[in-house]
Amino acid sequence: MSDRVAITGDIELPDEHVDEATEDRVASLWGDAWRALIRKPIFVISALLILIMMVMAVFPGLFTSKDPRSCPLSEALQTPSAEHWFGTDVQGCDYYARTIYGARVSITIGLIVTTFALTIALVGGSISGYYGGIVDTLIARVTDMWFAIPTILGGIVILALFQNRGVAQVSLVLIVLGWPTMLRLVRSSVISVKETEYVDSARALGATDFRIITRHILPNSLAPVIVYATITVGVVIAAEAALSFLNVGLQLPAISWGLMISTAQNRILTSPHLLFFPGAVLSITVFSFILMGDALRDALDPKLR
Amino acid sequence: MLETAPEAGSDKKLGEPILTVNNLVKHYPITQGILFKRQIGTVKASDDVSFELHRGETLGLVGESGCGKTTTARTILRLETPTSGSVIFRGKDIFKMSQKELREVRREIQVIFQDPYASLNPRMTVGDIVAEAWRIHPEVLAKEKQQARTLELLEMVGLNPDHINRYPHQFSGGQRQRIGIARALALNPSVIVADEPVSALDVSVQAQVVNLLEDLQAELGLSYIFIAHDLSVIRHICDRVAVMYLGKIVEIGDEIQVYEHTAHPYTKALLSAVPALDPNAKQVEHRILLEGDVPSPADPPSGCRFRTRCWKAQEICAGEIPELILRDTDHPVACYFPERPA
Repeated sequence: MSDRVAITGDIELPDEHVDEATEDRVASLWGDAWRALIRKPIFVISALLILIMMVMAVFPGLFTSKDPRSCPLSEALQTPSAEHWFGTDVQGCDYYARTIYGARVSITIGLIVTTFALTIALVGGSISGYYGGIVDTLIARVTDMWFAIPTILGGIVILALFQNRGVAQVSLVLIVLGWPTMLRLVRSSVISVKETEYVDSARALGATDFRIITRHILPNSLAPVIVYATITVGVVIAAEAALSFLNVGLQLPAISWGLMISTAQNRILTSPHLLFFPGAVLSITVFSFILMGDALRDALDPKLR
Repeated sequence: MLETAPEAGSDKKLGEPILTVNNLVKHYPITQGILFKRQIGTVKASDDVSFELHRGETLGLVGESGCGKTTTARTILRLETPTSGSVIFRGKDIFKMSQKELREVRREIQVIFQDPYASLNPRMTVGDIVAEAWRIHPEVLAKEKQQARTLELLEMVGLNPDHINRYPHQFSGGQRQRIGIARALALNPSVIVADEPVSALDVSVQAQVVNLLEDLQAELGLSYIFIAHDLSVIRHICDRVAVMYLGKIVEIGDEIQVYEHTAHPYTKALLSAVPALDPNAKQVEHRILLEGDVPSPADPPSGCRFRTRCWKAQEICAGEIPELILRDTDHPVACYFPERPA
């Protein structure tokens, strides 16, 4: 064998030196993403708005002392005033209190539907993308067929079958109709990650499929899914409002923004505030989740940094 | 004939082969259709490849891109299932093993990949990457010893052990390749398949990594299958060299045999393309320019795969595929008209 190449590993090239100032900073990719996020005004604003909505959903009493269900008919259809900030509705209920209490239903449905759809997508998408072959063909084609059902139209058809429609029924229908897009996203993400060399080296080490999926593939394919899931919360909230507006969603006496908008439509010209306030709050909520999704996308995609 | 091939002409005393590859074939089907796939062809990525690897030896696999080096390596690692053929490790065929036996073999045969940026999980710390081997094979090392051993391994491959909690993106390419080497060493393997381990690195860093691999071999008695397309790197590190063209080994022998007593026209052409750095070196024969492109491995030429670009090709070359045997040469060659030592 010939002599050693002139340059040996002992020579200290700049290449082998990482400056010592960063010594103790443990910079994971998630950590980096977080640091990038909190510097983004869009993220901070949307996060604050979402936080307010969450608190409103859990502790509506913090925002109003009025009871949304005490409705003296004598005070019906008042315009906004110091006494009733958002005015009153046709029953005489305080509209501000109703708007506050409406957050609970919207946020609950948004989170429940997204969580369950995400779980279905993660399990199905991982199996489909990782194993490929006949399993993938089966899951992917069923997903494609399901994907073809329009959410609102499908929602109307299915919900019309229920006599009593509460949060559970509406959530169930939105979960059933909502998972395909997310599953396709997880699947394609998993497929792109499973071809990487670090997955191959885990296999060469003898790692089990479960270990490879949970330790290597999912952590690296999660970023686009998290972004989409965040946006989905907003979209689901809007879908619930749409279904309630179409009278196939929640039923009175439930308090929901969609129902409020639905009731308001008959009096758009005479009492426009009945449409404006729930509409505005709904829009802000949906918008916040979508903004948050965008901010997350920028922070989690290293290529855009 | 094949049994004699790897040992033929070698003066070096070689021990028992630790790994024997017999007639390894890997064909990839080309399919069409979404729901009902039908096969419309095959890519013959690795076609009837045989060689032996001895204890403590480095065998180089060299050839152009797409000649089947990586497929051969991946099949030996059982990352791919072969179409046919066998890989005998310590007397057993790894393709006929149970999951349990395969797990044991995984401890013995490890891998170093080409791309130091793609071969480390970006969301795991260096310590976790190296220690993962013991999470998968807890019987190898007790939990309380893992931290100390990780530090030791990092030190061994020339990294600062203080960096154990860092993430891969905080390292340079050369350092990442060292992390990959540390991971491969964690299970004390006897064979390491290195798939172009230095191709993605700067030349100065290449030398460091090659030297590190040599030092580790001397220290730990490792056998390497070293894949590269750089003939100088191969010559530097390898004891024996196998030259591949379109999925087949065309010539195999020790370093002197392949580089000095070159027998196959393809090897001749490859070597003539290596730029000479030493002006005092003996005048390199005129550069052989190959005409045309490498034919598609989905539709290789009949007979000798190299005949379409060979200046020596005659009618016989289009007929039977030339076997890899001794042909009045000091090492096996798959050519009807080999160059013979003067």
